Amino acid sequence: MKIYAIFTKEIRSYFVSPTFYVVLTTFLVLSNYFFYTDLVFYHWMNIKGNSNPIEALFSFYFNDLRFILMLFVPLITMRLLAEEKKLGTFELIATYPVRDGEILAGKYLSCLAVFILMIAATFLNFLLLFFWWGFFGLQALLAGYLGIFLLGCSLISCGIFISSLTENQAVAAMGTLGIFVLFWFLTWNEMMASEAVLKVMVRFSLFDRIEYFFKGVIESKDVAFFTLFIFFFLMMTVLSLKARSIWVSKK
Amino acid sequence: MIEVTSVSRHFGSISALKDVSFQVGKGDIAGLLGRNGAGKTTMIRLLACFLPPSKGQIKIAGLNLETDSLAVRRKIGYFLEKAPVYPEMRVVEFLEFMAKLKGVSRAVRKKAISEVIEACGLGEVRHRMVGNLSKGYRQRVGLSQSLLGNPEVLLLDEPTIGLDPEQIIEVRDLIKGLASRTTILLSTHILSEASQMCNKIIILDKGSIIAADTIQRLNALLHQEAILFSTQIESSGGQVVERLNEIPGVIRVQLGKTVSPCISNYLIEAAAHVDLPVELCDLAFKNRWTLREIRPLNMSLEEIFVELTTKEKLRP
Repeated sequence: MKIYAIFTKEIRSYFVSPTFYVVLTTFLVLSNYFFYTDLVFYHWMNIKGNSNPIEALFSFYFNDLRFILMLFVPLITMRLLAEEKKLGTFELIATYPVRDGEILAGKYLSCLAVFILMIAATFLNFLLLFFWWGFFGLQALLAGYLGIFLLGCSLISCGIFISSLTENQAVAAMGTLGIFVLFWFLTWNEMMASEAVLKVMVRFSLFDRIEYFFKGVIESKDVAFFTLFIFFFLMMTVLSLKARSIWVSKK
Repeated sequence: MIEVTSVSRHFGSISALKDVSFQVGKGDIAGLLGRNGAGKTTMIRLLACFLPPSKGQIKIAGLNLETDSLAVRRKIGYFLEKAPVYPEMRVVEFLEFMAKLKGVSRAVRKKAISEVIEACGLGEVRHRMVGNLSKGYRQRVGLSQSLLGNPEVLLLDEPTIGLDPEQIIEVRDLIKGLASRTTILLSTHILSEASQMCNKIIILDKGSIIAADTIQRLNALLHQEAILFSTQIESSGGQVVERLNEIPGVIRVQLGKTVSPCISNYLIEAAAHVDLPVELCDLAFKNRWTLREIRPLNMSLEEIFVELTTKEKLRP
């Protein structure tokens, strides 16, 4: 009941905020732009005889989508706890008979609902495509969306944790983006580390792991990794909320 | 209702509260006084279950804050100095959200919200966005959320700060009205407010309690050594000051305002053990004076506060 109350309050906060509409519109414009360019590329490949939609369309589009998510998730997570701290409302609700975990669950689920809405909007492109060209590669498409969903859940859990560390929304957004970029670049510089180290780093790279989903492959170890990642950051957020004395003493 | 036993709270190497103990009984309005940084807000935060104490024990309504935190939070209402609110919500929506968090059941929620809206005079603005309200109304919204769910204990941190004089009187009346069914602990800088509203005063200084009692008892405690009296005497002859000074135990006599050539006011400081009214009546009878008035002068709360925080008179 209390989780639901926080969930609905947060959903409402998103939809009365002009910032959210700017974020949503920009996200849809960018994701549709990438869909269009990937579709043109797929059409060009099709003319050349390579018509595998999984490699030429889905995989390209999901790779673009993960990049857009990296930029946009910080914008939807930045206010979740930073704003509460800034307004002083966190101190107020923390003295109500509500557990920190319930506050976090309500906020996390609301952000997830907004994220699902954003992703569902991108699915409309595929529905239109199927309407014209008929269904193809549906399982691979769903696997790709599962990957995007797990990536989104992971990024949101990380974003909400960073938001719990500050009362400045801009700092929360930049900090979250910085961590995402770090996860993105983790395996880019192959010369930086030895092969053995690189193997370990690949295991921690969210963005490398997600590529298997884009190829239509769902591996339980990847699902387990994302689940652990989410759980880890949510636990860190609960610990951060419990460490009130640290941020109270800094004021 | 509120029992604080040997509570300390440290922030790193800083001790915000040091071995604090006090009690507030059911139906009391207790004022928590102290300078800036004395530890008032920390004390209220501990009582509101926002921070745990580093040491010691706190009980509210017989429940231990450490082990029954959720149950305690159901019994308290907390008003923060900044009166934090969600600016994007309407007043009714805000109160509904807070009532849900408080666990007010759906059946009585609407009625509970209407009651606090009426009690805090928010009827006119109930459908307005909180962010568009004046500071005074926001304070009232903050106060109204603390009243949801009929709390047994109200913790108010500077409840009248930023209000205009009319609103201050209204809020004070509201708080006084609540005392019949709620125990109230309010922290304030305004000493006249505490003396008007509170029947118990707790004075904090540098994280320690230097006094916790009724204003009358604090006065008596401060007057252990000497008591000040004001008297008006009508006499046809002179040398009144000299005669008054002759009373055993009188420390000092000061001539006050002269009402007429025969009637004057006098300020007499006498040792606490002296029964000055009796001695004065005796002297007046002997000298054929008319004793028109005699009354002890009590210190104001401001004077008590300054006396305690500067002279460290009652420190253990």
